[in-house]
Amino acid sequence: MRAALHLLLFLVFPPLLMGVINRVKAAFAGRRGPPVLQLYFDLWKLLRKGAVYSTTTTWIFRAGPVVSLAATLVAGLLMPLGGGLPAPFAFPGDVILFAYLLATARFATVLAALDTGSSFEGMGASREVTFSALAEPALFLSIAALALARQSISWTSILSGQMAAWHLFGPAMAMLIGALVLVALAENSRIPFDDPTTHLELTMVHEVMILDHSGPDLAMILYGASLKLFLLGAIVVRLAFPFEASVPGHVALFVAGLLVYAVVMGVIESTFARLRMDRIPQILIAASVFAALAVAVILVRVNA
Amino acid sequence: MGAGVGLVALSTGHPAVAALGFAGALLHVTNHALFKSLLFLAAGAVGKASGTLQIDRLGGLARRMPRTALCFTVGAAAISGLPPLNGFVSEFLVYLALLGAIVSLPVVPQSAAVLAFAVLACVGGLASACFAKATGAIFLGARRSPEEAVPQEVPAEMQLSMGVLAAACLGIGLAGSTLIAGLDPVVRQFSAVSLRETAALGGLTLVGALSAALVGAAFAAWLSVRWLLRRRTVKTGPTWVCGYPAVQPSMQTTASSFAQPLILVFKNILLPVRHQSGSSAAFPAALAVEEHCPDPIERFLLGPGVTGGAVAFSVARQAQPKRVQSYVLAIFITLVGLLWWRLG
Amino acid sequence: MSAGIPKAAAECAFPNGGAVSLESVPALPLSALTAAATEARDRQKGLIALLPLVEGAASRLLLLLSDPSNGHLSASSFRLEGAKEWPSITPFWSAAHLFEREIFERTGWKPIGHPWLKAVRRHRELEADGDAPAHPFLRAEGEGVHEVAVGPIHAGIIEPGHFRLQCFGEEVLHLEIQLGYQHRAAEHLLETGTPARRLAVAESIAGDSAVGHVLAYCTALEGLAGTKVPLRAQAIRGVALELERIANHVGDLGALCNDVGFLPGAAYFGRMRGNFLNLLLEISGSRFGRSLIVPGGVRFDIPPDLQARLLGTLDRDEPQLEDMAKLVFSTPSVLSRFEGTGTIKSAAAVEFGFVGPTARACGVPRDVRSDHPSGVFQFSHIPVAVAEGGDVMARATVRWLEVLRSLRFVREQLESLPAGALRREPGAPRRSALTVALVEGWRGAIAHVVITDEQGAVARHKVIDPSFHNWFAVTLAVRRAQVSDFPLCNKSFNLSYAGHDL
Repeated sequence: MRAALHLLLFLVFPPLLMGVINRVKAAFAGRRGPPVLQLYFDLWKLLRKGAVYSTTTTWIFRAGPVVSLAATLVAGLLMPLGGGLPAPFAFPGDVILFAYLLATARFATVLAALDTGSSFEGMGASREVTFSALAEPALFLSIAALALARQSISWTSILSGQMAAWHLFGPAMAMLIGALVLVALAENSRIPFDDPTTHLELTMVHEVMILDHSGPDLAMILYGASLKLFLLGAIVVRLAFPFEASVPGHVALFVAGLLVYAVVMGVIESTFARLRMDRIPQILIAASVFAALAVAVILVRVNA
Repeated sequence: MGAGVGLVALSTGHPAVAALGFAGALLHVTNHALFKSLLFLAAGAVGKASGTLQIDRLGGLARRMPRTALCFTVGAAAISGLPPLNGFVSEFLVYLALLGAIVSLPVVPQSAAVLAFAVLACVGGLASACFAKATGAIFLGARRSPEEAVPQEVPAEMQLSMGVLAAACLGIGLAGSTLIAGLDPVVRQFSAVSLRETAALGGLTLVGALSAALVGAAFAAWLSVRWLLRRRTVKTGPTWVCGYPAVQPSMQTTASSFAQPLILVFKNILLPVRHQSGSSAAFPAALAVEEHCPDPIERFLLGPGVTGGAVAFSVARQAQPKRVQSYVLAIFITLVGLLWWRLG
Repeated sequence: MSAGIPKAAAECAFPNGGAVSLESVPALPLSALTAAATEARDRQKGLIALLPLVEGAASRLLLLLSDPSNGHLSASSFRLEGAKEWPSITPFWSAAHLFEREIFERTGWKPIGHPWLKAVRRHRELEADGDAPAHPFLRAEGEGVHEVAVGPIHAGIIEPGHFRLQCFGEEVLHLEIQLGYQHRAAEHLLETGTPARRLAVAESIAGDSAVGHVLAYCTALEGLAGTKVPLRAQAIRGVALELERIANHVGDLGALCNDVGFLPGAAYFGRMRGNFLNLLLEISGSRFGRSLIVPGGVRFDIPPDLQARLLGTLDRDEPQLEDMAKLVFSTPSVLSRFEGTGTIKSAAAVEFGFVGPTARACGVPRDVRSDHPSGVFQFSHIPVAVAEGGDVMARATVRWLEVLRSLRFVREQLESLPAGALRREPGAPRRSALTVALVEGWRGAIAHVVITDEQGAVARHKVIDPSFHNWFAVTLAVRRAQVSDFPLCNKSFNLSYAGHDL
């Protein structure tokens, strides 16, 4: 029952987050903005469309969106959705599998982009691997800090009972949230790392890698992107809203937390300009430093 | 790294962590034997088919050699430690050992484990970047030197040997727990705890199951795309390049350019050397740029040593006397000196 | 000036919008060209144009200069004497590089020693017959170099043009710009059409500078006919020109914000641009000010009620504009993108003869409105907005300062519109004459050069859009820069493709 509810929430809810972010951005720009359900409409439309494939591409291009979506879906099975819905699969070390499944998804997207032979997509792929290689230590240091704080190495137990962690390691938790929000902004290609709405190929990171995808392939990529936004958001939300309640209350709290998270993302995107491309590594390294500081604080507290 | 954690864990009395470390190290060695051989075989196939091993002259081979491309891609993903392949299973064990150390070891090895954990993550990201670059530059996109002979797929025997190794990579990725159970007697030589007593085995079974789920989900998604497109128009056309009609293969990222942003981040470690000419004039007649990262050890340690040695020896040779008598005198002085040192 | 030629005969000077007879333009030997160009460069004169002048068998090169030190324009010509080539002046005066390439493309005459002798607009990718040569792009050598080809079709709603970047990773080594996709033979249409059609063509040379181009066009015709435009018409023309400037600068500030992903700036400046275009709509019935300016004056008046309405709109919009500018120019993430991006050295701006905000952002105070004032600018002065640095930040600053100063000017003019007629019908144009009309459009100096034949009909109508001078600035700005900053650099100039291609 819980597993079914988990799957339902995980599979159906994520595109809504994109809608919320876009509505917040529209409000900042003085517009009404697209409907909150726009991504669902887009996905439905794309699934019913034909496709155009480049003559340069091979099976790798077609495998890109498929593998990427599959990996993200499996990663979702490891993520508890708030306190009420534990992950369908939880075992020691699932944190590692989660991170590496996202890496598999990225690898597939990057190869698909390189398969087009386009100079834009090549540049996008180059930027993507550079930034993700630098985001990786920040994510893993955060995992290490959480493992240390919660004495556990599985998402479901790491992300439960956060109240105690806040009481013990408050400042460290705040720094972790900072690091993870930076990782989430970078991994989900949001401002200030990337601009999901720009039309300028030369400045894109993620968007440019999917320029030549169309129809159902594009639908899979867009859906996968919203799943990734949801999954990284689930970690941040659970850390930031450590409150406990009964099961329906838990789910409601979690969903409300995610909506707040989407609003915050929208506000960040509306109030910052994009970073210059050569500044991005510095900010990602700063995220690692945040996480490392959190580790240090927790280490001292644990061994004290 | 796995063996290191194992030793530290043993010395601090955490045999379970040690067992994981040793098992990871052993399995990783095995896995390296598999995917490295696979990559070398595929590189050999590329060299045989195209006549060159210069990465910036290749490109677009996947169209000509789809099976070799598949095998190389499997090898690349495996060496980057990506699920559902074998590289992930062994890295997973090492990560588990490190996490175990982080959670339970005393503070000094604990801190070292955190550091190792982050470094391993970064190395994983860099490996995946590097092998995405290699796969992309060799097999994907358009051919960079169309004037050379058109490469053909290598003979069946070569394909077979690569295929077996690729299948082994996937097999270990899906059934890692079985293999680990087989490794148990070896691990028990090092550690008092059997792998069966750690929680890792159950985790590995689930990793295998979820990896299988990944393969299955990807396959299902593939089929559903086929199904969705069955009555739709599927067209092919050139890659979108802003409507420019005269596209050339030089208009795609090269391996060096792909790596340049990363090299820039680590420029204080890698110390790239650049040769550039012709970009300062208002209307340059010619432009050239090349950059490479010489091995710092060779450049700063061995290089100066060898050159310095050569200089010293050439100076010594200048001092070499020309007459036989001088040699006799030198031998005599040396003898006297030695005698004086031993006897006096 | 080379020895032996008396100074008085070396060139003939005239004011902006004035006409001189063709005979009074001195015809010097070709050997004097180098000396004339060197002197112009050393005295920091502006190169308006270098044109071929074909008169039967005798052909000349016509050199048109502007001297900001005394406000004079000058013309001199150099006899080719049947030769099909001349010593290129580009090697020592880079400002001439495109003009010499253009002459080479149109006539086949060769500038000997030109470092980059390539077509300006005509290339194989554009020609149906495919016999034109492929554009010889400069290709960077080296193993890791890759080319990035952008355009002709761009993702935004902008004009077509092809950009070829030589990159090493994220670094741009070199940019070559290949335009010509917008060539409509505008000059030919201006020489052959009916008067009404010519006016429409002049308005369409660059759609976003309709007022600027048509004002230059009318000024040239009025100069040939010796027409004095009524003061009220001059003031209304000035208001329209400055409103066009405000609308475009505001729109571009919004576009700059959009390119760095700063949402509020993009949204509000974008909306504000529309408000200023709507002011033009109220005056002329066209958001781009079309059909307002006609030879001899203007077609529409600004009656007192409209005057009050326009001032009321300015009162409402100006504070909003200032608030948004304050926000944009104080947001650190925006400043860090603008500052130090796409820098052009001041010396380069002088050497290549850049005009308009491009030059003023490099600290070069060139502005036709104060250097060579005509029309209302003879009576009402707008201070020149200059910034140092030559980067995107400097260009944004210059544009913002110009918005503020133009707003003040528009207000002053609206509050005290001189009384009088709207139009004085121009008479017959002078025969065998030459006129040059310079107008400071929002991109910089727009020049229309008109030459009449013995019957007084237009023999040659040459249009020089500021973009023609400034495109090379984009090339200079992105050298050694990051490829991801190229769109931002390009937008900070926002040059016209159509104005270049004509």
